[in-house]
Amino acid sequence: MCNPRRIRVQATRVLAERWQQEVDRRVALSGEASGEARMTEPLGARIGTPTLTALIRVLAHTDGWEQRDDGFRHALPGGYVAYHPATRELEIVARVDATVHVVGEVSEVVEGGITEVIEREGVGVHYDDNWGGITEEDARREAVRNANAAADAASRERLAQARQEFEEEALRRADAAAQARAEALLAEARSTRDAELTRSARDTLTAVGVQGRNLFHAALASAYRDAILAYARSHDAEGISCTEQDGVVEIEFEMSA
Amino acid sequence: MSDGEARYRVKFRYRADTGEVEYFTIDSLDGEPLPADHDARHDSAAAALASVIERDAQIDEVRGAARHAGPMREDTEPEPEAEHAREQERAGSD
Repeated sequence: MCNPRRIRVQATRVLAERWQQEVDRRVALSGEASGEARMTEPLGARIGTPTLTALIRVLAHTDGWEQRDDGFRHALPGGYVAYHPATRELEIVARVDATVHVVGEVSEVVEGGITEVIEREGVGVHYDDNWGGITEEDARREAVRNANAAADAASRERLAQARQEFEEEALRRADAAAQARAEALLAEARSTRDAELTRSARDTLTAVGVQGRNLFHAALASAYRDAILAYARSHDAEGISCTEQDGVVEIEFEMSA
Repeated sequence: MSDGEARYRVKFRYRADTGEVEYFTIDSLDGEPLPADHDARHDSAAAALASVIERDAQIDEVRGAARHAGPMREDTEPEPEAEHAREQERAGSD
């Protein structure tokens, strides 16, 4: 028996495809907006130092007053009232918060394509003595069939891969564009809403101020009481009486000076 | 009471709902004859007491002998609810 002879044939395919794809992407975002209005009142030039000193102790031990780095704060519906010992200022803040929602959308038709040359080899085998009834021509035809089949398969596979890569990239770009659009819309919406809420906060500042001053006056009553009684005791006062009822503090004593 | 000292009665009333000191008086209890420097001592005692609750308090003499810490200065900033200490004019002694 002779050795087998291999016949190799190349098959070529030119891939030249164009396509279009419609892409629709939506990104929904939410963010917080707020507006504030405030008024401050300097107390250091008006209220006596012993009272302001006593006030700090009162605020530190009164429910509802939270001690913070810059002083004391009491939450209120729609804001808060604060006292800042370092500056001796009373501060009243009205605050309004809201959530804004936006949707960024991208809707477009994108085009893609591929231009490539695919080459594949096919092999056919025969024997010089035409063993098995297979001639050289048979082997050549077999090689051509195999080459064509391989080239067709490779073309289909490459086209599918190209379309998938294109679709993934198109969606990624559209997602990024929709995200960017939504972020821009959110920034604009928040800015607009902030301005609206600031105007709203100004409208409520008076009402918040009434509540805030009521709370502060209650604390100041205790501070006056403590400061005056401390003065009385340090001056050996006699007959000291102190009553507190319905938010009214009355003190009486006798002293020598 | 040590020699040279005068005796006083102090009264204070504050309303938290209005934020006002309704009265803060220091009433001399000394009888006649009053020492020559009685008024000066009375003013000094009133000023020292008033400074506990207010800086640079205005001290007014009420008819009779009482001293009271007068109206606190108005705030320069307009406010819907000012926290002032205003004293009621006392038409007479306590």
